[in-house]
Amino acid sequence: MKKFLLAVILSLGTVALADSHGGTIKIGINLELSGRFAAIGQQTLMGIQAAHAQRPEVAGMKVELVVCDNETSREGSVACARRFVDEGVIGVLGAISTSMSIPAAEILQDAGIIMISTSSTNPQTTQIGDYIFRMAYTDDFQGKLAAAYVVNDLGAKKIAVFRQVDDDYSFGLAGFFDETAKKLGAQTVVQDFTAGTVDFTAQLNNIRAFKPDVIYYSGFCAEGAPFMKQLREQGFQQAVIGADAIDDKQCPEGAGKAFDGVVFTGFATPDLIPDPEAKKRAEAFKEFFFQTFKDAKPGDFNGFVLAGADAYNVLVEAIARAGSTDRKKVRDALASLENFPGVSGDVTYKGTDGTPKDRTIGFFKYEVMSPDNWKKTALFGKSTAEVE
Amino acid sequence: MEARVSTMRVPITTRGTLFVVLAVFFLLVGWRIQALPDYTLARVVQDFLNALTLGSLYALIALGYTMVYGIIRLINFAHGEIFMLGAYFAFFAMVLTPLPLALALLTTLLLGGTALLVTRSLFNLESPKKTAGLAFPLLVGIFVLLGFRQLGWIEALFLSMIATAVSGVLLELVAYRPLRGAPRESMLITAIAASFFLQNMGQLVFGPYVKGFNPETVLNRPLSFRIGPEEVYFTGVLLVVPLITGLLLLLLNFFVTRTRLGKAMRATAQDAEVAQMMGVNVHQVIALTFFIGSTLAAAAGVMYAIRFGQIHPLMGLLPGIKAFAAAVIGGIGSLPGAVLGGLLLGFIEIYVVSLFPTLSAYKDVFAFVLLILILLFRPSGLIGEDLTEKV
Amino acid sequence: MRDRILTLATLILATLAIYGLTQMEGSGSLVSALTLVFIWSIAAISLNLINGQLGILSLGHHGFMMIGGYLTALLMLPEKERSPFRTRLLSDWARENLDLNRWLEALGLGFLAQSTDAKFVIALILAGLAAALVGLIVGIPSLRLKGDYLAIVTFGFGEIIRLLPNAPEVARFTNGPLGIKGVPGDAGTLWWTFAVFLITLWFFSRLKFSSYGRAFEGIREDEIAAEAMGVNLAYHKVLAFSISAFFAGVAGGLYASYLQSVDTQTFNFFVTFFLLVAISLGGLGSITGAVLGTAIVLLVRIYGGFLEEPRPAYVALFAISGLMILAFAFSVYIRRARHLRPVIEPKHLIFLGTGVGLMLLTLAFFSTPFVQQEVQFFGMRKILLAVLLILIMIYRREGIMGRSEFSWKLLFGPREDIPTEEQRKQDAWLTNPELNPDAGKGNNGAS
Repeated sequence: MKKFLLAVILSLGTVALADSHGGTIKIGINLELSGRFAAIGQQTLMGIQAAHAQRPEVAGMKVELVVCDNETSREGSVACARRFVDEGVIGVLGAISTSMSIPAAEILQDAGIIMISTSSTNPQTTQIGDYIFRMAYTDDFQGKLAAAYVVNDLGAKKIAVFRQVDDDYSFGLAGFFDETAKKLGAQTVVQDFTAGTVDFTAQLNNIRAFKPDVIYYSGFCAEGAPFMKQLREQGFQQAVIGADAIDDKQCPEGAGKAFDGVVFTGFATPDLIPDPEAKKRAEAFKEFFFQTFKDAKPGDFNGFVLAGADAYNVLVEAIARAGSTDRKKVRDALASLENFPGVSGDVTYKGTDGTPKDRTIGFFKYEVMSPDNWKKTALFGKSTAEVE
Repeated sequence: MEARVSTMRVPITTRGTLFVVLAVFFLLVGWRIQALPDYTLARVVQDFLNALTLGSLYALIALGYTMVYGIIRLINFAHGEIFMLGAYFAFFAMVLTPLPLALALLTTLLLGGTALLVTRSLFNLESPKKTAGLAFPLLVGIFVLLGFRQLGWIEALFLSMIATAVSGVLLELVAYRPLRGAPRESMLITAIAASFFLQNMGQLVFGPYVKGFNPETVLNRPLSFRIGPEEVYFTGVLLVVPLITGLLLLLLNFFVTRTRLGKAMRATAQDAEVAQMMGVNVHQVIALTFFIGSTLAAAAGVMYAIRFGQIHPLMGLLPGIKAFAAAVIGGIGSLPGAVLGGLLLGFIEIYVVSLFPTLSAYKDVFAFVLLILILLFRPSGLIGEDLTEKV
Repeated sequence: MRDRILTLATLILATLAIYGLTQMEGSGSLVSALTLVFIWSIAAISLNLINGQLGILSLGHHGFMMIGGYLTALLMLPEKERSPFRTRLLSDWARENLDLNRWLEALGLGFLAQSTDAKFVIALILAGLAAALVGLIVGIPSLRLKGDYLAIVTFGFGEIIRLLPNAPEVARFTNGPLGIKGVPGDAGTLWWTFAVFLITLWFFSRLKFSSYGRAFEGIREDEIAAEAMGVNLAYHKVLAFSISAFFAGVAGGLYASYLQSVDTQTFNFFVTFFLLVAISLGGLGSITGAVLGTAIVLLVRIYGGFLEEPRPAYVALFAISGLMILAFAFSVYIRRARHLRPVIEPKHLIFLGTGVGLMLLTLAFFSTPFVQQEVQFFGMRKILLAVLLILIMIYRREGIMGRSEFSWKLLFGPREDIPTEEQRKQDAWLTNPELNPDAGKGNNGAS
């Protein structure tokens, strides 16, 4: 009993101490650093840290990053969000996935704290409120682009769509893809699976009679790796198109050769950015990144890193423009951002609900010889402005 | 305080229920097959191979549960984690070898040392010379394997089985032995705690993410053969798993029925006190039970990893619980019951989902529903004795 | 009388303290922590009824909480969250009709719909009743099965309930794997949870010291004897399950409000495990123990985050080896104090040896990259909880409180093991000359 009281008093004390600002601005970071999306989370974190190294101060105050691991669970995300509300941060960067971003967004919107999700792509996230922003394109674009590519460029008439039902992102993206594909005249069949599924025999059996021309996979790598393995083992030779969730080294490392030839849409890497100025900035940042993280492997740098860096950059820029740490002023400054020169391209929030205009979506292809020997080749990029 | 008659008996006794269950199963399957137009013979064969593999894996894990329950009436919740350890040990054996010689020496000494310490009583090697005579070549062999070769899956399987068996015995020593004689609920709670401990230790040590497990072996190459107009696709794994399982079962059966130690195990399962009076070293027998159960679980873990291509620290959760359900369905405490339960569950999972595609979302629920039904209407399982409570 | 005054005083103090907390700046995390303590205490106390007082190991508690959580969420979901866009998988019927506002209007109680608090009261009660109904069903096997088998059946039920919301047919009522988001957070505040916690405490303490409570404990001690004394086993067992499930459902509803969302991952088996640790630590069968245990376990979970931060490996290695050496010293001390022989056994020496060896190795290889690297111990808190439970089971199965409850007598009452002067005077054997021929002489007769 005594010890409990002591702990209570101590924690009260630390909370009181922690609250004194003394010239630092706190930015919270809510990322999936462990669990299923750990790889993407770690990469995003590195991007943020690199951007922080480039610009560690704003408005005469030092920027302090408060990192919270949401353990790839909604509960963890809620806990992180609440913690940030208590700590009085100006803004929160993250989460990366829509499923974790939405619960945090509800809490942060209520508390009037800015949130910039680095890679949530489902439209719902920014619709929660005016304090919620994102750095990515939205899935309606990604789904439409992918469907256009599959039906028009690949000439598919029958498409099998695989989606993870218990993830908002995967579910939503599959929906957008399906809608557009049907509009373009293709026949589709949708198969469901849940997180942690390793055995896809049931789903594969279901599409066998359908004989699809192309398969669209809107899920993550934890299920994607066994999925591709079983797909190829069961004799399905069709082309497989995926989305930004499989822009993750766990896929080729997990599935090996089965992942060879998979094409996916994702965050643009420097070479795919159309605007030459933006491209230069991105390349420069890439160099800086590998200087800061000397142990980083080439596969560790991708669009998620750029997204993380830019989330930090725009928030800090908004604080600078607002000239104060008043959250409302910063939010307004952020919302009126126009053509900010970010490392992932120009960022414009003006006139949007929090989704930046004109983001570039890249098409990539995996070339896998073995789990240790693989690379991603960039095929081409398309701006969301081109999609109607 | 239920009275239990024989538990680890080998011959099947209640044929009636078995016959009824199988008959119902086949009738349902037959009716459904002819109702589905594109369910061809090729699909039947494919599903059969899948089901046989899945069922064998469940059977191997279920055996571990049933043996431990038969001996000390404990549901070893942590058995799923032993299964996971088996997969990880094999992964490291294949990926990290050949080790630098110093490290190989250290690992051999550690592994061999712990194994010897922990199992010295298991094999009745009283004379140090005999022990040394057996152990030395074994240790040298392990050292050579670790230091000089990139291990293939069979050697990795073998090493993993040893390492996992040692882990299983360690688990028993640390977590369950201090609770000998405690009320069963306490032991169950401890087992649950041990399971959580191992899961989270696994996440801490191995990393909380999924690792690919794709050895370039003959097992992984896609194969196919024709049946009629269709192809049946599979990989070598689907043929090898039932074979290895069958082999292990034969070995187990031989051990339990024909050797002295096996007889001691059966005696202890029947009545531990009397067995002790008859001169059986109950501690030794219990440790041996964990040893063998963990070996089987390790084999299952490695084969599961090869079959599905990935390992992660929580991989033992669901298969473990389902295998446990299988053991109970077949008759907990009965070895053939565990095998039957495992195979049954595997077949049900694959075939029901194949024949009734709308039910695929309920795949994981079957095990639990069956479990509850069996416990309510026939608690001794399909091949168990009828339980009577004596006041 | 003194007890009543003391209880009332504590209540007033507690209420004032909570009021103070809510007004204080920067007390957010403490408020959250306390809220969680209250919510989980309710769940732990309800589990304690079955595991502790009734003596039946039930492993399916997370299922009851889930039912309560989902129903509360569905009933309380406000209009703007009910759009088809936000609740994709819900059937239209469910979306329109599973709405408390609707029901109140239909019953002519529309005025109640204005107050979220009133609605929550109704919603939570309904949620509890739904959970209680399921608890009744789960309780029925308890009439036929014992011990391990029953535990496994409850576990099976718990898992089935957990897996069901994902299934397509059930998803029409639960929005499937996507969960329900946007639940109002009013019932997840400190005041609400404190109030429900007090109600729970009151209810369960009255239950424990009533004939029902005695019947439950009688069943725990010896079922057959209890039956022989006229206790209706079936009635009491099923009743216990229902009551326990009711409060679990309420706790689930409160938690759903606290999280402002509910989905199939929130209430998994870890919840039951966590409650098990809490009540085992506190003392199976003791309400005070359940609360105490919950508080301690939550303390570890909430404030133990520092254990999982990245730090150099040698810190961890030193900590582990240091703990091992400390454990050895502690064991020697305890064994001496309890006169256990031999004080030091070989396995203790092996333990000490490993600890010292580890420390020496770390010192020897201090500058190597392996020892210097940054490591992060994910899941350290859960590991700690698991180890704690194992240690409790091995060394102190009764937990902290055992089966006894907190009472003012414990703190303020006279010591009952030492006789008072009055009692000494009344002790006839000491003072009566007829009985004790040495009475009246010095030393009360001792020679």
